[in-house]
Amino acid sequence: MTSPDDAGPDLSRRVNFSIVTPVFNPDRKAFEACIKSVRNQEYPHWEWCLVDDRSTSWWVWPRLRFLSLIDRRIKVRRRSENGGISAASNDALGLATGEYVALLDNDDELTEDALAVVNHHIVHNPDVDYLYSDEDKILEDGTYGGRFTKPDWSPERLLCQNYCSHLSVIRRSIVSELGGFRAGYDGAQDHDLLLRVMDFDRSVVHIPEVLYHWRVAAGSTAADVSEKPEAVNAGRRAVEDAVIRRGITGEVLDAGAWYHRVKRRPTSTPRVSIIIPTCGTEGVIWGARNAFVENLVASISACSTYPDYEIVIVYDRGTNPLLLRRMQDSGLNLRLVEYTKPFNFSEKCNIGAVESTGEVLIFLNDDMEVISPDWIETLAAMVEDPTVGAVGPLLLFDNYLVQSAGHHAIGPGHFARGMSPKSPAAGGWPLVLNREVSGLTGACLAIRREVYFQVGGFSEQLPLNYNDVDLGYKIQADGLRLLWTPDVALFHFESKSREIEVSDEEKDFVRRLWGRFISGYSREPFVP
Amino acid sequence: MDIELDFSNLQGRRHAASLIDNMSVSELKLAVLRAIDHAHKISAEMIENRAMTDAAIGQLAGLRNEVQGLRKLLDEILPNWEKLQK
Repeated sequence: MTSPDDAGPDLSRRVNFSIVTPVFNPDRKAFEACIKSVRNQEYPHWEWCLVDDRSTSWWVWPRLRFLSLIDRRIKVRRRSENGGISAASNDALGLATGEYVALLDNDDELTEDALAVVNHHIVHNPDVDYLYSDEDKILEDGTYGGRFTKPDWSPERLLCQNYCSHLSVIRRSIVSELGGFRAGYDGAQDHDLLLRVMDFDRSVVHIPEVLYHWRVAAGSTAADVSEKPEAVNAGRRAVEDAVIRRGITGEVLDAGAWYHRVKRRPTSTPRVSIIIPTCGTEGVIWGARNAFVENLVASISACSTYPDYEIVIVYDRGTNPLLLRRMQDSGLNLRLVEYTKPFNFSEKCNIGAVESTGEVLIFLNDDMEVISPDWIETLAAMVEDPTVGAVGPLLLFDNYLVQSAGHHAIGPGHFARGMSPKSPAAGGWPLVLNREVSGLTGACLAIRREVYFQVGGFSEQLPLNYNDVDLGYKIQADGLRLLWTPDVALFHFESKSREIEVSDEEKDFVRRLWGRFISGYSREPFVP
Repeated sequence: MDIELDFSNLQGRRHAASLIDNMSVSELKLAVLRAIDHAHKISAEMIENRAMTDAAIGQLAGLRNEVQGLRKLLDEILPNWEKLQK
């Protein structure tokens, strides 16, 4: 994806846009601002399809008629009866003739360069089917603020949240094939449409610029979606329908913050190998001194509901033999593999993988404790998707604050470290959503065996730090996604105040190979 | 037995070949895993180098354009300057 260069938007190809706007009793001042924002577009090749959904305000239809008379690009229609936003939007689509449709609400505004910028991205991505931009809000005092800086294309996140929202520009032929908006999904009609568009493999471009100003008004979803409970219900049904259409096995949960989350169930029960590198370190856990690995194994045994798993412990020579004996005699499906060399986390994990027999591998640090009983099946279900490379869970300190919720690329580092898991975080409520991430911590990571071997496992040239960062980039370089889910939670008893000291050599190693994922970004690609 | 295999040269390949009959299955698996990681790294480094080369070529093209512009300007200014000197 390219950005407009310093010379301005590329106009070597001129796309015709159809702006589609259903109209119903808009605030007059807001509607005039909306009109101005369209007619002031730098890019002139557009038509605006407005359908009055039988507004009761007397001035609306005369205003639309006048607009169509003074500007040939503006097409208007009035419905014979009020049908709701989806019906009016479909009528507007019926007027459209452009190659792409851009969705605009009747009280919102486009930036002056919106269509020029979108055209530029289409010129540079001629096969693109769908483009979405960043947005901000028109606040009650008329100023712009509250920018929503969106992640790059995140299909998993879209299943939970219509993060794409405004400005959305879709190839018109696709919208036509799908029959436009569906009746009965008013309030979430855009989300439902996008989910149906994305049932198939599409070319998507994220434009990391604000091209749309979304008006905050009392009673609007821009202010608070909970103001419109029917919108929340429609959103749930849209997600439920997508789950059924796509043959996903799972249930749609209320994620809180008016979003929904799909909790998958595995379609089969492959053996899962839980690989734990350890040297038998002891520490204080819940006020009592214990060996971390023993506490972890006990929590796996006590909590887990998955029927077929094995535990492979790769222990250092010098680990307390009594500890090893206790674990060996635990009656669990547990293997002990001795590691005799100087510490190398990556090599220990690779040895564990080679000695394991499971189709799915879960790597765990020994200073963890299971919280979610269905943690194995949930992680296994998410890695079943062939487009997914690895999945990571929510990790909490023993004070219930976030230890890790995925990595962010710039740094890299743990996202949301020290925050409450219920926090809106960066404002997009990423801590309650299944979503794509730039990286996952090796403290707990699930991956299909075939993928782990395909990427060469953890790199043994990184014995201490950044081996998980490197693994994540290898997976993404192979075209697979990294996902994070809050549906699985574990405690991670890593010291809350411990600073991870990454050497310059480790940083240089990763930058030399993955500069296009790190320094090539001026922003975090999956920013929450 | 810790096996490090390097397939990039003849000596490395001969060494690897000599080990085959005595390798355990686990050792072989680890050796293959390391080789895959190594190949992945080579590919990643090539892509990075290509990107850096492309960026450098782009910068050079930009510099060349600037130089050409300056030369043109000099061609215009110099005759007048020489006249003034006289």
